[in-house]
Amino acid sequence: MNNPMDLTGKRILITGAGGGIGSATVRVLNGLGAETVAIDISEEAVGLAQAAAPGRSVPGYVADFKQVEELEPLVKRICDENGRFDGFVHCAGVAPMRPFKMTKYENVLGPMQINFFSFVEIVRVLTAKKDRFADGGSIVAMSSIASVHGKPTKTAYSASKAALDAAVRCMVCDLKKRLIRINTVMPSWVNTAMYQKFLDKYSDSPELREIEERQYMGVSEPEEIANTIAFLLSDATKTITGTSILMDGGISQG
Amino acid sequence: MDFLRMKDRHILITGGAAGIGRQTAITLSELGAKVAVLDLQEEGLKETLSMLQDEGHSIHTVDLSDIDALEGLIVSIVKETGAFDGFVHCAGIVKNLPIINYKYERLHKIMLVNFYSYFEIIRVLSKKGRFNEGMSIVGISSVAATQGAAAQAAYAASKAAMNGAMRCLAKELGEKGIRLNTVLPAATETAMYTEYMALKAQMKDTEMKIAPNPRQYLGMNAPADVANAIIFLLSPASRKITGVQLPVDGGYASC
Repeated sequence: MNNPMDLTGKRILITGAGGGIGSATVRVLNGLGAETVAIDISEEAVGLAQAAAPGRSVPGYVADFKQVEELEPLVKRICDENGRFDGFVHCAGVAPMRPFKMTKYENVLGPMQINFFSFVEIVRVLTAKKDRFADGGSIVAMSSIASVHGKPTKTAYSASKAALDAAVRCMVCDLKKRLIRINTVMPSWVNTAMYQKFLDKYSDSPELREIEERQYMGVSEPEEIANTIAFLLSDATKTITGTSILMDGGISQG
Repeated sequence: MDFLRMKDRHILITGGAAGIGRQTAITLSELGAKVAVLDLQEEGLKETLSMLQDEGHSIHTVDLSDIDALEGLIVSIVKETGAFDGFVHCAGIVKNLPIINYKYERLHKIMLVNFYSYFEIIRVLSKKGRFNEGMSIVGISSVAATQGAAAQAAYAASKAAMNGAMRCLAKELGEKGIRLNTVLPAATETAMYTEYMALKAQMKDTEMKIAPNPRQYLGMNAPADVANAIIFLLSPASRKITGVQLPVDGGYASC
């Protein structure tokens, strides 16, 4: 049977691949036949990514996404060792909560480096040479509903995600001759370790009740986000580019 | 400094017998503009007229759902009082019903008043001799155009239709130097809002509370809050702003 989301023969690079959404993405992409290469912050995280696709080879690399200058040699090495990529998924991200009055430049810079600068840099290096990234390839970045909705304590995070979405709309123009597509996914709450931590802290709080009321389709599972990422990587979406797909369980309609 | 420069500008306002439309007419008259106010409610129109400053204003009783009658009416008002510098479509009706009760005629009635009459008046006004250079058109849309709420489908659709048409007309009529924008208010202290909350209280069987949604964190709009935004968009101070949806929502859409 023809599966429009089939990823057989596609090689995909994934950052933050050991995290909740990242490891689900490794699992889903391998299930669809893709070859995946993982980057994450530690050996342990890389191990989690590899464990998500048992029986499959998932080459892993460690990187500190705050050290943006170190990404170019790393990406070159990854391409030399693995060949040309057809896709790239940026799941690496941090979501600090910090009162605005305590949000100094360095507190904004960190999330910007990990969530935004590292994405732009990796795409730049990947697409600089045709033997690193295929014409017609697809790139997906994790944005967030925070890109369009404000919340207290989320200034740095929201700004980094909005920067990402705005940059993507321009980058697609720069890469259009090679038919390289870029899109972002904007979830609200996802059932990851980050959400479990929030539940522990705020069980039975007005904040939690607001989430339950407004996100009326429920909290997303990481696999659901990974499915949308796979959809955007696949040839099923050959004409979708420069867009941001909301996965917010209904929040923005309410 | 006269920042808004509205003196002697001639503005057409629909839905001026109450609420945001009435407040817009009053403030415009205080700024020296001349207004022609339309509404279905004759008593309310007379009351609005009595609240206007200075002379030279006019009121006209009209059923905006009678689309075919609008061209004749607008032409006669232009003959009587002169060409227009601005048009504000405040007329709007709301009927909140579950979808199973929304037969076509009910939906159509809402579209007639909230949207088709806006469109028809713009069509008629944008003909030569009926508008002055730099005419600005402001439609009252709503946060409902971008945010969903149960039982509001028809109202929301009519307000979203206005925004969609506005963006196209801004391009099309831009050649004639005509600007178009919409404002998107959230809860505003008007009779319409009071009725809406009464209905909501009835539906949910809870105590009626005239309080805005907590997401409207700057608090409930007064009609003047919306009128001030309308007048800025009417004025030459905003002469480079066109095709825009301006929320006047106390922060509602930001979070």
